[in-house]
Amino acid sequence: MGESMLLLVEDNPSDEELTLRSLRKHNIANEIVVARDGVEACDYLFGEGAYEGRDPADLPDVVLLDLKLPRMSGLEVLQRIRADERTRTLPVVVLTSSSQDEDIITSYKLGANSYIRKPVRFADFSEAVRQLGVYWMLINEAPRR
Amino acid sequence: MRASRRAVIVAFVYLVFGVTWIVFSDLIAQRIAAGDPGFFEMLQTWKGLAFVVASTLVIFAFVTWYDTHDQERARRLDTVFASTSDAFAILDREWRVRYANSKANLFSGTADIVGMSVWEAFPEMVGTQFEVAYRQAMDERFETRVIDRLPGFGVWFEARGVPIPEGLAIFGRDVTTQVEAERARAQAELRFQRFLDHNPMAAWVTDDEARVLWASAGYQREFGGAVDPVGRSLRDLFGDSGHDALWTSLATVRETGQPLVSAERLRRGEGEQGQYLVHRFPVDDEPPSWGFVAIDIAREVAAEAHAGRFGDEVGAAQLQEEMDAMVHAVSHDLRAPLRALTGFSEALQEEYGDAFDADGTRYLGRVYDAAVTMNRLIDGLLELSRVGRAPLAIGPVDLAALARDHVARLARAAPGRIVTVDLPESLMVDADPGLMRQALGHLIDNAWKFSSGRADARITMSVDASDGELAVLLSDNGVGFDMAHAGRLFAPFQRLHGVQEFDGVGIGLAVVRRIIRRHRGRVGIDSRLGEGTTVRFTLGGMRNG
Repeated sequence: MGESMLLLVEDNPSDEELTLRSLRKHNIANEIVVARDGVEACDYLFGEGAYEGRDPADLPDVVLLDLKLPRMSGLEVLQRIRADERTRTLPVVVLTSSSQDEDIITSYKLGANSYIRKPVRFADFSEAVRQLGVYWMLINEAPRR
Repeated sequence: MRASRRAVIVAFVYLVFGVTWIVFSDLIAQRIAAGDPGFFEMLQTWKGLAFVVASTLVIFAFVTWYDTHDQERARRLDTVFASTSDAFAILDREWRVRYANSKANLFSGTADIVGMSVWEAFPEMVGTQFEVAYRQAMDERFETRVIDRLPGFGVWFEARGVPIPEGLAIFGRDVTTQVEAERARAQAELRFQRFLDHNPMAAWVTDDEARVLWASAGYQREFGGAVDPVGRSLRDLFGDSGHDALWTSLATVRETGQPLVSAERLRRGEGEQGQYLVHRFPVDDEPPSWGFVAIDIAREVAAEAHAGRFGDEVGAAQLQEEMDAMVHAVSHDLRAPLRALTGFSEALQEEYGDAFDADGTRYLGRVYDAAVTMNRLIDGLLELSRVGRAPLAIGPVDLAALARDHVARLARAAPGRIVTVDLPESLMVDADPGLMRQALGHLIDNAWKFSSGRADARITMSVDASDGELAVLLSDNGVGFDMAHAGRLFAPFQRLHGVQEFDGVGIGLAVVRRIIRRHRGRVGIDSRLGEGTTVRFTLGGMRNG
């Protein structure tokens, strides 16, 4: 696992495709995993359900988390991430449809590290990862660790 | 023809005289011719006697005639002075009464005061202003006049002393009715003046040339400032548009003689406009003058405009809340398809841009722009709904500091622009800091935006406490707008300028109004095309710190 990895939690196919396109275009992350609802995201992170057996220690470098998700909302996912010892420090960037959303404030209270207004553009993403201190994600095929 | 008695007597006397003359003249002539000396002597004696008798008769007739005329004159004088309400007397230089009319006698209480000293006839005058006046007229030979209470009579008395060659003519009359009427009039005028001084309404009177003849204290408070309006023209005081608003419709008042009432916008201070109910009515006929009363109705207009647009807000509060929640939810859902529109338009342009010809590229641009615009509309709706739903957290806020921050941000984003910003040092109010930041942000954005065409752009924030309530004014010298359309401005998505001219979706003022309303304040706007715009707002319980 010498490569960067990113978890995108997004239920809207258009948003997913646009985000993936933007990130890939700039060679962000070697691996992008997509979860399409909150439950799937948690299953992936904690090696449960459909991801039974996955090593929870193998965490993504950053999670891009949409807030409006089926089954389990983004805020609930965030809560769970921050509640778990293993994922407490995992960088989470919240995706929002409005920069004036009160959900942003709630997200920060729950421990989000940053937010990006959708659609995810490269410039916004760069700014977010800079804030997170994970610049290397921006450097193509940079060695990890 | 009837013969008069006098004619008969004259004819008879002539007849007797003629016959006597004929009979005696020949006789006398014969005797003279005869040369009788005794007869000549007798003739001489008779001639002397005849002369004495004739002259006696002439003197008697003359004196009788003179007496008759003199009495007639005195009677006429008396009639004249009796018919006046004045008491009148003529005094000689020794203060003796030489003539007194009946009123003078009546005043003195004596049947006839002629021959008495005036001080005996009128003892109550001694030692009063009247005596002083009379003595002055007599000694210094000029007319004097004094009005005072007459001691012992309980009346107001007017006395006049007029020097005449033989001494002094004195006139006197009871002027109690006039004095009391005058005092009542003066008191009424004073009462009226005080009433007007303390009446909050602005009132003034102009002549027929629209020049102010009089203005109430209320006028001074509302419009005056330090300027004395008397003698100035309405054009001078209210500007061209104010003059027209006040004066044009006066033609109707002139024609009908009836008062006319209308709502008008009038200049209240530098760059400030107020809304007034103006009454116009005729005051004087000749020369004509016109009365004006202006009542501030900004509050009512705001309330009415509000009622017209949103209905009863108290009753609609719950409905509004539900609306806001719905708008919030819908807005979020509307965004997703929009993102697809913008995102894939961009992707199409970036990856397949070469495949499009000029028209194709332009169409794609249209799709993208439309989606972006819709996104901004949704942002506006969201903002409006959030402002309605957010809980109020009232605390001390420095509006001047908020404004300064915002201006600094705008200046950073537009390094080329030069805008003079005139803010107070500090403007402390009790309000919700977040909401006030938002409201001021919109107002300053507007001022910044609409003054962008000017090289000498200026944004001013000031405080006005003239209404007894603290109001904040934010002015710019930008393009302004026609106040005829002002009513729509506070409703969401209303714009008075084309998008090509000025960017924006028209949500700012709607948001501002909601924020101000939530603080139980009022907001109004005033503008002149080409001159600039002023937004004035109050906050419930705002204080100046």
